[in-house]
Amino acid sequence: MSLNHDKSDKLFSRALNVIPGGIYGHVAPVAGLPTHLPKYIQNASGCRFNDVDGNEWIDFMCGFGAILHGYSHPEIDAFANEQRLKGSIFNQPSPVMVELAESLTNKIDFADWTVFAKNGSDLTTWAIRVAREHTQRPYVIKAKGSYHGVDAWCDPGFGGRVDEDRSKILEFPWNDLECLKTLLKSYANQVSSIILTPYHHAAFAPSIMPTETFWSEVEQVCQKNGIILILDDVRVGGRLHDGGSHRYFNFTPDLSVYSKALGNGYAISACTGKDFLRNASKEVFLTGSCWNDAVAMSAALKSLEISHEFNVAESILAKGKYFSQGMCAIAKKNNLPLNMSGPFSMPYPCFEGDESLFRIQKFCEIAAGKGLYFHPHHNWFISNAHSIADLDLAIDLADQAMCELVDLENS
Amino acid sequence: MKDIGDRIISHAAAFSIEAASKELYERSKVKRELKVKFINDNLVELGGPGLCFKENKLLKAVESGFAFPQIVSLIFNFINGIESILILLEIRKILSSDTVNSEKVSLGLRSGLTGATTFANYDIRYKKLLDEHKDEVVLFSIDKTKISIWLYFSSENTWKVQSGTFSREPTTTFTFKDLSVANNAISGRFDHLGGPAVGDAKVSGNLPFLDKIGYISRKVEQQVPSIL
Ligand SMILES: Cc1ncc(COP(=O)(O)O)c(C=O)c1O
Repeated sequence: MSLNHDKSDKLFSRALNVIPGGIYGHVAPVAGLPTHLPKYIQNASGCRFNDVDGNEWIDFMCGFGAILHGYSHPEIDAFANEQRLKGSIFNQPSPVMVELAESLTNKIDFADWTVFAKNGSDLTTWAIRVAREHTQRPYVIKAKGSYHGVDAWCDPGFGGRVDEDRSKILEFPWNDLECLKTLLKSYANQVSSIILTPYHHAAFAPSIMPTETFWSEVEQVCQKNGIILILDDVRVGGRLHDGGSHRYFNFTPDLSVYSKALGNGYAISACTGKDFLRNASKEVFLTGSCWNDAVAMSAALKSLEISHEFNVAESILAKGKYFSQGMCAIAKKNNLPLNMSGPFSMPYPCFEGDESLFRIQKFCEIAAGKGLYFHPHHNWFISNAHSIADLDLAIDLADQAMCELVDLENS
Repeated sequence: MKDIGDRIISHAAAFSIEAASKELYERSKVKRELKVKFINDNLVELGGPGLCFKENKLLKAVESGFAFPQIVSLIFNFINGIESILILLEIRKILSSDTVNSEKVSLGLRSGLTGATTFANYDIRYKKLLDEHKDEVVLFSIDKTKISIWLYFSSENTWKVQSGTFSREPTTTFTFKDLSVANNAISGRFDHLGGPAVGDAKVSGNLPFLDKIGYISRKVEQQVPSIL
């Protein structure tokens, strides 16, 4: 049974007149469960939100990763509000920009400098250009199926592109070091950077962790071939280690990009880098109308402080473990072969043998009827606002959904 | 299959007609199919000797429902040619009619999707797009009707469309709410982002594959003339 969504639907009908497709991108209803998940949200707090029809949901997407400490976090909001009273955009940056750069440069062990923008894409694209500028080489290597943003060199859409957009982008399957080495041989002295996420978290597929030697070997081939290693920590940053995901996997990139959780819902992204890239970074033009937004920078400053003070990455990994184990236990009880792939703080659920995703879609559909916001083909996110009681309630409701799924399949 | 450049438009049009005729034949509405044969760079034959068009004329025939075929071919194969013309006119009659019924919708869906498979078979860009989905099968259907149209990669190494029953399970399903919505879709009046969100269609399974088929179909719709 689906929750009431009359108001949501009415809004969406209005939107269709004035916004192509109504809602686009990764939050387009068609990318999830078009008629089961809410289209518009009214307000949110902690790990719950209310849709415009007044239904309350327990959330497991955290604004697709933008929320780390919970929605409407009182301390972060208060700190941001203080700045809001002073103003957000000026002719010049505000002092908080320097404070935030110092904070990040301190917290990210390899970083000697930091720059800011608004979106992850702004800086993944900028980072590959910095690498090109430094190396004076054209090619970029990425993992097949990885998402690095909306720009033409990497977006998952099909429209508005010309062949040249990707003519200098090479791909290898995640963890396939042989293929990576073959590419490096074929394009010797032509590769400027390898850009990778900390682990492989493609949509529509279980997450894949790096093999034991993956990162050390990638690091080695980069060093040996004078290639810049770019860590795209946009989605994972803050969720595995407070000092950046490279610490969790024990390697050192040359550049790393953060965004989603950085501002806990305030739009901001950052790229940090090693000293030897400072000159190149000054040559690649970087700016945006609202990129010096002091409110978002204040939020990020506070958010980083809280992450550090309360060991948030460790905390959500532990909560995620509790949740994933609980989910697997109820699945086992219901004879459903559930896997929670990826790290515990961002699990991607899948049923064995369900490559076409029909089963997980049905399960999430039934769960949605119980107020659980489970996405069928994107990794979920655990925030630090999820309490054990919230997780227990979610597991209990998920258990009911699994029972119904089994009944439905048997009927 | 080799990339055929701009001629892909006439190929898509021709194979769409063939698909429509197949659908009619399987529904016992006509005596045979209009099999496509490209005779040389410029000429396409439909349903054996008799009905033969220059490729540009074929596009006109598809768009307006009529164009002059090659007279010499028609004269020398008069009976077969006339039979083929009648089948072509029958297709036109059904597709251009205001009546919305299963016959029209399945004809339109099957021929439209065949246009998409033509692009996928002959244009390297679209071929590459579908490369990783060769094990997958999409089922297009319309709720509360028996219409089932399948799109899959065949053992002959080409993308194909088939109607009715199929030997494999779908990996993706696209179900229109009713005939009227499906009729809108075959006439290019379906919002692929908005439609599923307002319940006009239900999509399940492996959506990236469907997404790509949808994109290719929209390119066909933009580029290949149609009676609809
Ligand atoms: C790994 C990764 N890189 C880059 C991006 C792009 O970030 P944004 O959407 O902020 O441009 C995303 C967004 O989901 C992401 O997950």
